[in-house]
Amino acid sequence: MKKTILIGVLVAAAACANAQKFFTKDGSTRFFSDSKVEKIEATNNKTTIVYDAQSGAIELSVLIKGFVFENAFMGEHFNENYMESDKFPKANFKGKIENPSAVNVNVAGTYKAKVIGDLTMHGVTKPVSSEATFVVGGGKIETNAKFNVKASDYDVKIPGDKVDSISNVIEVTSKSSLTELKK
Amino acid sequence: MKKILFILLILGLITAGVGAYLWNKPHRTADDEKPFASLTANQLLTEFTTDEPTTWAKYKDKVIQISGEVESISVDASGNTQVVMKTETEMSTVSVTLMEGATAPDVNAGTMIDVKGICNGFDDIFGEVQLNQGVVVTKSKD
Repeated sequence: MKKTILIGVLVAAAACANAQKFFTKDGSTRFFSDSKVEKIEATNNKTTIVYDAQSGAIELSVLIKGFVFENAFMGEHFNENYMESDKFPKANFKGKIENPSAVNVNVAGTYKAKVIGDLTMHGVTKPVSSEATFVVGGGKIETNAKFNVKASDYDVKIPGDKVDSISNVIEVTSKSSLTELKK
Repeated sequence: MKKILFILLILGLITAGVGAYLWNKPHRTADDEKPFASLTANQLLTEFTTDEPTTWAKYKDKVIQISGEVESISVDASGNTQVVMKTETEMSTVSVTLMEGATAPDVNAGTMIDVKGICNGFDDIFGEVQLNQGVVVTKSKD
């Protein structure tokens, strides 16, 4: 009898775990260009992320116009000349944790995992991958990832007179605090 | 000869001045502008969910004034205040990130509020219209 109850509890727990999804609408996405002439960075604190703990699927979406630069003039150039954000207002990532069991959302701890998937921006979709950290605890999952993208891969043209001040390799940092999505 | 040097000097100063102006140009905020449109959080969401391309073309970069019920007020990773308003659709919201240094509204969730901001677009994962460089227009306290 006890055994039956135990099995029952385990099955119920497993069913709960299966349904677990985590999300945020306030993740931070920062990009950084380091060149001989200047360092340029911009941050977007309105990144939406959904993480399905069972399948490891991760979806991320960000509005290009939501990136804030220290310098307003740079922001205008970024939107008008480089990202053409009127035409391509969003960037998104659709992918998954390569090995979903690498992160256990029911046990507090720090987990490292590889995230792979497709990044779409400026109308171009390319595969990307990144090592990511998942810190589980206190009903939250803190995520942290850093990877590089090449502007040229996404058809973002850096004009000749700007090659020295804008790097073709852009460092992207993603940070978020996910909470459980209750439906 | 002196004249040429003088002209060159003036030209140099103008170039430097324009450069400095552009470099230090302040961010555009909703504070300085009259709203292009004024509507409820729910109306704005409905427009985006009904026809996103048309609504995007209509509101992009425009200052919009939104009235809605406060779902939450928080501070983002850059230290700016964010006002999130509810809509009639569960999980769907309208968020306005206030301009740097703007005073956070001293209201509780459930209060009706009017906020204006610059429209950055629509995130379709949960359905959220995002605005930034915003300011609170009026506030009513229960």
